[in-house]
Amino acid sequence: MDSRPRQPEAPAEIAWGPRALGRAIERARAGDEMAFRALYRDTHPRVLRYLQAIVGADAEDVASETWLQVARDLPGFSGDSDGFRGWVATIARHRAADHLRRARRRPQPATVSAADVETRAAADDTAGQALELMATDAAIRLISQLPTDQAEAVLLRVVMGLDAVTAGRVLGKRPGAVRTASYRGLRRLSAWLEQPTANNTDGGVIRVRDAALKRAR
Amino acid sequence: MKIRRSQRIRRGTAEQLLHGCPVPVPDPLARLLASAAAPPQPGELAREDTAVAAFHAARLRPIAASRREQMVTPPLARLLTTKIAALVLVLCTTGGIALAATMTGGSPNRPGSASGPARAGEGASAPTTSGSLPAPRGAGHLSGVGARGAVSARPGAARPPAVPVTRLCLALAGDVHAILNAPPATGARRPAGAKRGRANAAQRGGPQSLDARERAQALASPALPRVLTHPAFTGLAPVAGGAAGVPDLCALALGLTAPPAPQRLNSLPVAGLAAVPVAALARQPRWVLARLRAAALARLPVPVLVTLPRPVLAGLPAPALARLPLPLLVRLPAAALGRLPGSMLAKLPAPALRRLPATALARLPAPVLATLPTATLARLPGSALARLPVPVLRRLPVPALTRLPVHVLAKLPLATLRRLPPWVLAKLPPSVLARLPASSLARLPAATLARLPGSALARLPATALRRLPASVLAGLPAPVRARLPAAIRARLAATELTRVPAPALAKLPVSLLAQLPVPVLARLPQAVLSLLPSTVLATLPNGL
Repeated sequence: MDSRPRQPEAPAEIAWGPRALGRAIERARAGDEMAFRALYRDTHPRVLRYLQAIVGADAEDVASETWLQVARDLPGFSGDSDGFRGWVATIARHRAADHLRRARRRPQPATVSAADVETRAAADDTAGQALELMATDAAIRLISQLPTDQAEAVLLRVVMGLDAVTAGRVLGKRPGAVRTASYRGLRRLSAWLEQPTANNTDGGVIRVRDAALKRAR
Repeated sequence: MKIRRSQRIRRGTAEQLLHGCPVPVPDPLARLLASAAAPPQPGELAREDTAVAAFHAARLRPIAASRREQMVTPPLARLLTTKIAALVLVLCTTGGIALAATMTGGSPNRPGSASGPARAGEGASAPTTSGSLPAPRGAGHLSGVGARGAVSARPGAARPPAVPVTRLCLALAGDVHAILNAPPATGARRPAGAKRGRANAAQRGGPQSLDARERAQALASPALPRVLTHPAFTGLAPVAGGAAGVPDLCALALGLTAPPAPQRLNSLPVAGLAAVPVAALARQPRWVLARLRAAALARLPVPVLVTLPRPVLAGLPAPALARLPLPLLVRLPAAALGRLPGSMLAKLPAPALRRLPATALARLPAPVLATLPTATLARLPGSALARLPVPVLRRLPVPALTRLPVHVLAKLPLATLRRLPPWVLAKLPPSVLARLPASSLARLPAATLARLPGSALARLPATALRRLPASVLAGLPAPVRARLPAAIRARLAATELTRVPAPALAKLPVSLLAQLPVPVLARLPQAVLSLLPSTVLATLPNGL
């Protein structure tokens, strides 16, 4: 019945700037599929990377649950592009918390390893895209090694692109606490990156850091 | 060492770094953060279609359902997002959106739900309970339509009840529009007031207040099949040739000039199109009408019909064709003209008539037929030719004449009859045949000649006479028999002799007896035969 193409191109007028995203939000609320796709393409990768730090390999599933709720509640959302990303991040965080509660009743997933990164890199079709993707993946994995509050603060601000106030709403903290956590996270990352022998007691961090550095080059 | 280096990043620098600004920090950290915030990769958007399917499915969900009802349990949600949502996408693209919506918990007939999409629209806006149809009702317009549908569907009725297509389509568009523009579910933030006010305008004024664009939008919406499953609309799908035809049928009934699925227009049943008001149909553009079944266009006024392409006009039923102006009619294919009534055919000019098939020509009145050229008449069946006057028939070629019934042939002049082949003449009564010249009679079969009176036979040449059976020849007058060849006359004589009793024959002299044919001799008594010469006896079968 429906001749709608399976994957239409996002409209050209929707760029990734805040104003264009704001227009996309309005149109998606009115049921415009193209606008929804534009929002998805802008926000989903950010959410996915953020969730990787919280739920690891299950990030895709939790992100899907997140978009299920976003799609359902979008007509009731009002706000700009920053507000939208914060809203999506809040939903993602709640869904991740649900996921972790369920995960306590089953065996923990395997921890991240450099070998895992190499294996996944070899499985991708397009070498260039794979390298880029894996560089991002490795960076996210290294950030995920931070204490949870620091990792979330850094990812919400760097990846989700939120300011301290919006990130604070997502995390249920004051903006100052978010700033402090993110600064500490950056310092720790910098220390890991600059000190090859740092944190020798944590072999996992070293492996992930090496993978991140390798890919980032 | 570690502490000293990491403390190089001050708060201000860190804030700039978090914003993605270029700052004087150790390169690896800047590169790490840049990698973390890299542009989206195609692999990260692999589930985009699944999310879009959820987006569409969510818009089909009854708004009136409680938030608790909409919240699926986490395991179910996960299952939905990873497995079933993919199915939702497939269903959305193959017309199964109603099923998809049902799977996601939005069945309009679900016990305990707010009775489907109409109630969903009501739940979205408090003042919508005034109803959408002109007749005041306490309940929503959808339930009102259902009640009317129930009245019209009388059990045991001999004929299927007439479906109020226009009214149902009006209600359908109204309900779909209400869903599309419904405010969000409970618990979500409210949209801007202006937006909400515009969205609910249609609900306040009922479906008749929708403008054409809103109706078209509603009919093209993927939410329509879902709303169509409501019992109030059960009458629509059958008259539209299936649920897939409903958007187009409704577009026609509501006078919308852009059907949502034009490729399906030609599958709309004539019975359903008959329920579309003529005025609405007449407003359709030419290309839409051209795709409809021609039989459904018969109701259109002539000024609209004349704008249709010739292939469409050619498919019109005969009564509609008969209403077309003559200059247009003559340009139609002969097969179409052939369906016109005889009175209408009679008005066609000769060039058009010449193109008509013989079956159509046969319906023309005789005076019109008589004006047609001989070559055209020659194609007519015998029954049509029989209505022609004799002067016209005389002009017909022999093949056409042979199709004439006997009683018409009998009226033809001798000059015409003479052109007929013997097998046709053989069908004529002897009285007619008797008028034929001897040359014509001579060509007749012997069986036919045998039926002729003696006077006619007397005119036959000897060659024809000799084909006659002996019984006929025996009845010929003596002067006629005298013209027969000797052998024929001998045969005749022998035949006559067989009728003479044997005792009478026995009185003949031996010289005459010896000339009798063998079959006659065989009947003679033995004593008489013994008197015959031995050469004659040797010819007898038993060798007497």
